[in-house]
Amino acid sequence: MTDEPALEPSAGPVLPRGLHGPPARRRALCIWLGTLASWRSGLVKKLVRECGTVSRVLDSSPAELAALIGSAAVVQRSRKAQPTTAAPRLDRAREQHAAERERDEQRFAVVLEARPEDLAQAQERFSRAAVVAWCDPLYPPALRQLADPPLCLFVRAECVEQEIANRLDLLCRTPAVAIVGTRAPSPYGTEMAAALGRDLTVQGVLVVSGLALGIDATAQAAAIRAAKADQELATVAVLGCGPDVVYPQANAGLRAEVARRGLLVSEFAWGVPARPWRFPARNRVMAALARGVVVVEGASRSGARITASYALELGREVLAVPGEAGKRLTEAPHDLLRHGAPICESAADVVAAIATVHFDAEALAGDLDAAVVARLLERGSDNGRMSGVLQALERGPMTADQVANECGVRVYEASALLSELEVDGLAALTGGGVYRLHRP
Amino acid sequence: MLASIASEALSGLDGKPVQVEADVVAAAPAFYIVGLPDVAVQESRERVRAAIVNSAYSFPSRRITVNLAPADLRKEGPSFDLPIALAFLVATGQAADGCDGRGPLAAVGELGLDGTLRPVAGALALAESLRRRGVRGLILPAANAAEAALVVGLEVYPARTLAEAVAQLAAGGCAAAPPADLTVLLSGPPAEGADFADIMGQEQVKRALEVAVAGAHNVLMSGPPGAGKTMLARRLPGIMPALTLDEAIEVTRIYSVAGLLPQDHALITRRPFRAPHHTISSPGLVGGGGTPRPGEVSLAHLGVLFLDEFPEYRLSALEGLRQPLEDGEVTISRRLMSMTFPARIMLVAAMNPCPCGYLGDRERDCTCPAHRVRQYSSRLSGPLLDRIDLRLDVPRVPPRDRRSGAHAEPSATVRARVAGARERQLARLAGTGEYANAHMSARHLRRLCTLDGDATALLDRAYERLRLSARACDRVIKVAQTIADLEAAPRINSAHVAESLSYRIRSHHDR
Repeated sequence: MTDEPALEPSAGPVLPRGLHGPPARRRALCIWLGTLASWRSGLVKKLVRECGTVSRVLDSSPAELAALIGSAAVVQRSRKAQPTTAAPRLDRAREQHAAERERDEQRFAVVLEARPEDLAQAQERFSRAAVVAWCDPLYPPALRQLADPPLCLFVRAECVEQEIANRLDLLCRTPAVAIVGTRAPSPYGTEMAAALGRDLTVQGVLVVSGLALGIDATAQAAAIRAAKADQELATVAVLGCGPDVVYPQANAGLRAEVARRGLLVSEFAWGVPARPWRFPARNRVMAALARGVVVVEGASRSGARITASYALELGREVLAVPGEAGKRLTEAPHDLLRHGAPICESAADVVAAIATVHFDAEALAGDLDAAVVARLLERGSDNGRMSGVLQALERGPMTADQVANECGVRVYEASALLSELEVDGLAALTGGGVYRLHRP
Repeated sequence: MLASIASEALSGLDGKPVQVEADVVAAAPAFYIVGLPDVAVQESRERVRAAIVNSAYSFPSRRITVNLAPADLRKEGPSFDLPIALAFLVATGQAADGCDGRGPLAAVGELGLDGTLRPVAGALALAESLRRRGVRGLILPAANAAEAALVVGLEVYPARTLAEAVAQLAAGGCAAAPPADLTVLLSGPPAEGADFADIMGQEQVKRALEVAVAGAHNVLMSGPPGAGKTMLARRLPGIMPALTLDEAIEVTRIYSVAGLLPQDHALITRRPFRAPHHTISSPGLVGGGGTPRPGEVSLAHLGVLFLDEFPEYRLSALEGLRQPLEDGEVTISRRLMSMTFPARIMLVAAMNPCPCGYLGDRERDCTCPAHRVRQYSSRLSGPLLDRIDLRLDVPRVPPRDRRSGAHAEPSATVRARVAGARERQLARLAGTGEYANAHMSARHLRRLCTLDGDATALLDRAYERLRLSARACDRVIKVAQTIADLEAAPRINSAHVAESLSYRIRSHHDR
């Protein structure tokens, strides 16, 4: 893997941030944390666990965060000390691994020392590249469903910044399907991946994949070939390394093609090399971006299977292409079929399946911070009962019966008030007749 | 010698005239029945022979031909036993037809081998049809007498045995059954044990069901097992307005044809509640069979059809529901006939939110994979859901809330409000041919429902924010109209619309 020389300093302003862009501080914090997370696995997950929600993480000061991260580092180092008594070859591999760890830790330490504002500026200085922070309008809403979302996405494409913004907007709006599978497919798998990549693109579905050898590359190449000449976004590659890093080397040509016609997207910062732990992380982003995942071929414990599991957890549709019985490469798809995944014989199956998956950026509610509650109460002040209902919901999700009890109104009045709040986007009905406050 | 007795064949909910002719000639002994008889009619030879012998009449060794005219109408069932026996006895001179001059009597009834008369299905429908054709009277099994006596203008001559029937015929009708006292029948005790007041908690659901009943809206309830969906549904007939006499006769006719009329009830005075199991076939649900019989939708006519585990029903059965829900009747076409059964029902469907039942439950976790949940609810087709106006979540009620149901309203109170709302609807819908808000067409809706300014504004906002379809908007207005009717409000205000919105059908990915 080599660092790509094409990353150059940019002249103009970077990305249009939208009229309601968040304060620069929060954004810088996103990029700083995102870069830190590129060098250490599970960082965001840990911070979210400590703080409760992503937005609370972002409410913390860099010093507080550094303290939280520092304690994590200690734990990691103590776990690292292990006796080395294995065979010499294994020793060498372990040494190499340890050296890689060492380099990653050094990079991590450098970023941790930097001021978030400085680092954000440094990360955003490249042309034909962009950084989308968690709080940006162009951040794909689907990713917010993840418990540990990437705090920023590093994006690269061979085009001007305005065009990158257009493509990101398309990524947010176009229904996407991830085609995943083994790196060493059978001729049948290759054929299916190519057909799916082609037909889905023709039908207006965005093909997302990981740009790995085999199924990923075949599907993406087919998508690019099938895309109309004036199509702005032919395909999106989600990478397990920095988006400027060429990996795997064999796909350098295809990678350049994706950069020209689509987007290279990664949660890993510029120059971050590929490491084994980064691929499952990449798969989770891929699963979240897509409405559906099609598993073409793969062994039972493969990256494709991992992507499918993430997708199922996120409520995405998972389809499997049937193969020959008893072959190692059909273990993953057949296992999925056995567990009830819809069969995928053609693009039509995929389109039919994802048609029912519905994205609603607003419904992907996270937590409700104090400012929002204040706004809610202000809105409710014009009507005493409305604010009563809001205050009741603030104590926790409840059914209309409970709201009526808490507020001392008739149940049909409670229903009506809750509906009005729902229309205004301030409350939402979750399953089981339970209403909860909703982040507007 | 030749003799002829009038009878009546059941065809759907209607009767068709059948003339039973018997010809007895001195020839090689034989007993033929002709005129498209089915197996039960063919077997009638054995019953008739035994009944005649055991009633102390003689069965001469002659050639007997019985013809059921018209010859192209298929005759089914055992109800021709009695007219065949009577025609035979008249033809052999053992009985007299004493009806000369006064118009003939018709006869229906099944014979036992000892000559007793057994009840037949559909006596009410047969009697009505005879009355329409101007037939003077009907000899029929005593067990059917009370039911047939509901028909005003037809004399009913009950008989317990073949001998009594012969006596009735000979006298040209004597000992008529007294006409039914309809007011007494109707004023029977309407309320049974199940009352709304028994249900603790679930106030929102009860309120929504009241709205549904008031406007005859179909309902879909969703909730975990044990939340009380079935219990709530069972209590719905109790809050519906009492059946009018005409309605009661309509219902009784269907039950009579289906052979489901209880022995001690001449008239069905309670609104039906039917809850077929989800393994029911499509003909069982909507009606069918070689000779079409009413299905569960018709048995629930003017009452409640409760379908528990709604998505588990066969797709063909669910799709078959679309016509009755739309038209209030079911038409079943066969090669030789096409029959229409009434089916004006209130559909109450219940389902679990997911296959395991606990999706969204606050205490137990759902164990279903997401795609199974989608598969489960996607079994309900859009066109079917379009005919359902209200959707309710029925959560499990924690025990402490169940205890605190001190002010639960009894069904009678709710029924009074519902009746008021129904009256206001009837007045508004006069001239449209409909009787309840649920059946308003889009055109009626525009013409008859008036929303005030706030209500319109709220609806517009909801249309945009909640991405309602135009059809969903119409449903919201219909239900809001019913809510306004319950309050006797002259026009729909924003509170009505808001409450109606809380009952809207949400697609499963809305949450």
